[in-house]
Amino acid sequence: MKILDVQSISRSFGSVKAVDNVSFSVSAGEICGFIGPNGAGKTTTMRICSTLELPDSGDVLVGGCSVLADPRGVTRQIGFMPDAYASEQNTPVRDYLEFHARAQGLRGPARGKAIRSVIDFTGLKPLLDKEVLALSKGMRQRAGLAVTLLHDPSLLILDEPAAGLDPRARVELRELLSVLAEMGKAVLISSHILTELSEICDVVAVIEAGRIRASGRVTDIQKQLSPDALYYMRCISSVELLQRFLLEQPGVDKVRADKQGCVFSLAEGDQALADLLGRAVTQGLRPLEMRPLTADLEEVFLSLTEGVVQ
Amino acid sequence: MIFPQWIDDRLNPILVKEVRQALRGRYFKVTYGLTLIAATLVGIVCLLAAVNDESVGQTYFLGIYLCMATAMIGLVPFQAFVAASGSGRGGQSELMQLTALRPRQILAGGLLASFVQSGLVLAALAPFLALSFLLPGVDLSVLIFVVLYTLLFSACVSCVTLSASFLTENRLLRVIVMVFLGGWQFGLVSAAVPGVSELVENSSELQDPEVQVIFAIFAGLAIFIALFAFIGGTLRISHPEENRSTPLRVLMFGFALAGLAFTFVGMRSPHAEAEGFVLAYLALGFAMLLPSGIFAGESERLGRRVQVTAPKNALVALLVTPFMPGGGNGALFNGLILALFGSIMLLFPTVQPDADDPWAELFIFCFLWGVTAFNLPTALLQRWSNHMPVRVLSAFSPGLFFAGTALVPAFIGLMFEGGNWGQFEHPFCFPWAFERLAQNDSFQKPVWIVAVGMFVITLLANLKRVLRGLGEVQRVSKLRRENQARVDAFEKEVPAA
Ligand SMILES: Nc1ncnc2c1ncn2[C@@H]1O[C@H](COP(=O)(O)OP(=O)(O)OP(=O)(O)O)[C@@H](O)[C@H]1O
Ligand SMILES: [Mg+2]
Repeated sequence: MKILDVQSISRSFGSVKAVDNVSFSVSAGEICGFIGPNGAGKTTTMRICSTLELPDSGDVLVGGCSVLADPRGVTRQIGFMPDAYASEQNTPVRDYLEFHARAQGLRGPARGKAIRSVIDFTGLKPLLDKEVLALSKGMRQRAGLAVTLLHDPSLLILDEPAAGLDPRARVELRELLSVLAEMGKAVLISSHILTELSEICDVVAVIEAGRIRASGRVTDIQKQLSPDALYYMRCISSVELLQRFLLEQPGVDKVRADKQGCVFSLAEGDQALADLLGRAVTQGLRPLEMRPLTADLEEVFLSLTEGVVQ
Repeated sequence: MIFPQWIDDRLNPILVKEVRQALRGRYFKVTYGLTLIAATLVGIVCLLAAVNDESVGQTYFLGIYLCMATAMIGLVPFQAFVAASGSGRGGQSELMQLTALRPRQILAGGLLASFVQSGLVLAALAPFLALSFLLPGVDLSVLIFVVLYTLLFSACVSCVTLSASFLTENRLLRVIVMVFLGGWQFGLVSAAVPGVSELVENSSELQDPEVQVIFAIFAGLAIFIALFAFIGGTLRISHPEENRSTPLRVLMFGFALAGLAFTFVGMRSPHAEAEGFVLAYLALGFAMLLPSGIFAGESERLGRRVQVTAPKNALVALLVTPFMPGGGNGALFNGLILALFGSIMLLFPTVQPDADDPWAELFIFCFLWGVTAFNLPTALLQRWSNHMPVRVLSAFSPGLFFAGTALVPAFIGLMFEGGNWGQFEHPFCFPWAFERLAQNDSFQKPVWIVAVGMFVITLLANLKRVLRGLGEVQRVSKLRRENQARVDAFEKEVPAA
């Protein structure tokens, strides 16, 4: 079921087309990585999805509610975490959560319950009496996540949540997000640091200069990009020998050598690969290692984007 | 929990947060402490200085009042301004849009928090006030009146400062606004103390109906300004693309009607001086228009979230067009208010005291200038009205127009030996022209040519956008009718299960 349905939205600021005819969708239980270089239009798109900005054209449906016609219906269903969180002076985490719970209209026992459950989920218990402003970046991010979860939204929109987090905090964030996805929430998460998304994202949308370059499953995108599969091969004999051998093989297209081995692309399937290996052995190359290179978000990203900055 | 659950649930979240923050923060503690210390010191000084007078209570009360006014009109509203900072992108009030809170609740929360703080200050000063009553010289009714009146003004000033804090995100501009507000509050406090002094010394004045009317007028104005600020602030923090000035327009219209009614009641009272009232009437008319630069300076098109609110009935849509947002509709609104003032003025003979006096002419003259000043500059700026700085400029454009039309020809006169133009004696200078007409002297022709000429230019400059505005509202209304018809047809075809 589609929770977020972005329908060809565009938005310009003066002459800058920040978002240009962007469409994609995210279903329940899915984590969608929203990837693009700086200034690509990620934040603008997310702000449109959260009703904070209006599209010049197009529409966004969240659980069937339009951001144009029914913004209140949309905000009830989303939890939006902006890239920079507002600071509150003289406010301990406990009050911060309570304030937001009140602001979300939670009343009576439901409020206490919601607060307790997000505290448990994000592990904020030891920090309840700390001032929000005194929290470290990672902890503030957690507090922010806790706030966005208070009213149990079905769609989470997180703008660069992992920016500035240390590796451990990142892993923890990933785990939290995976749990949320298992609970059936849709998650849209933006980043330009790709490795942090590659493991948890089911689907990605790659945006550059306001346009979607590709969207869908990572492996599918990789296939679209280069129909040839990439392999890495290493042997005991010299790299030059291996390289020359590979260049002579039928079906091999590009060959790139590094210190120990070669990366090459092979058009046909497993049969061709087995033949190639057999020939390598008979020609005395003595292979040590042979593995397919899996689709990597980093590569997807670099091959899709051109570094256009607007 | 201090409150029972059902109250606790209904408390304004912003109120709870702001009060907690204020009580925890340094600003309020310092304010509170300083007020107490100052009240003690000032009280001692006043007591020592006037200990032998029989009106020692009055001096003491004034000393305490100075502290009270400083805290309640100066410091507490200022805190409201500081606390409600950061309304910009990623800022707090923007995120509040994503919660179940409405903009009006956000503002009301800040206002209530201010009120609570005022109350706390008042509670702290209560012993001092009680002492001033026990000393000879202060009337209890005056004391209570002064305290309540100050509380009202405190709330109104907080309303203004709170809304002003949403005006801009720019740091520099915020500092400017802050300085401006600070000066204003200082002026208010400085004006309040002599007023209260007068009242305390002549406590019988409070029984005088004329004095009561004056106090009522002041309170009414304060409430109006506070309401205007409140609604303006609410609109400022609602979604920027919703661009709704409708509540403000309705408020302005209501106040115009109230002002008219008030003037007429006053004019019919036996000892009213007709001349004074006509001047008051004109002043009121112009005052009504002061915020109208905001309306006429708005960007032209109806936002997509506004379109869905247009009335479906074509006639109703036509009638409410002046109240819909948009610059052309704003010009229409200004025209409506001016026409209201104008027609009533000309229709009621009581307003024209004497056939020999040029009141009617003067009135028409003001009407022409009013239409011009409040609609010509905004019409010329309309092309850029999507940009915030231009809209701000538009808001001030009527005042700039009066200044510019007086200054520029005077400057040209100085440069090119243009007779007395350099001394502001030219038909573009509104005060000079007004005086010529009032004195019925020989310069009337150029004065009228200029006024009528500018009026015609204004009409031409506004014609297109006013028609466009009217057309747009009609179009949207028609669209909504058609949509409704489709829904109805659908429901007839598929009866609800
Ligand atoms: N309020 C605005 N006014 C003017 N231009 C804007 C505004 N918001 C965004 N832009 C422009 O739109 C483009 C996209 O900005 P956006 O913030 O959406 O990019 P982003 O992908 O989030 O970048 P980053 O990775 O740096 O956060 C940029 O060129 C930016 O300058
Ligand atoms: Mg961004």
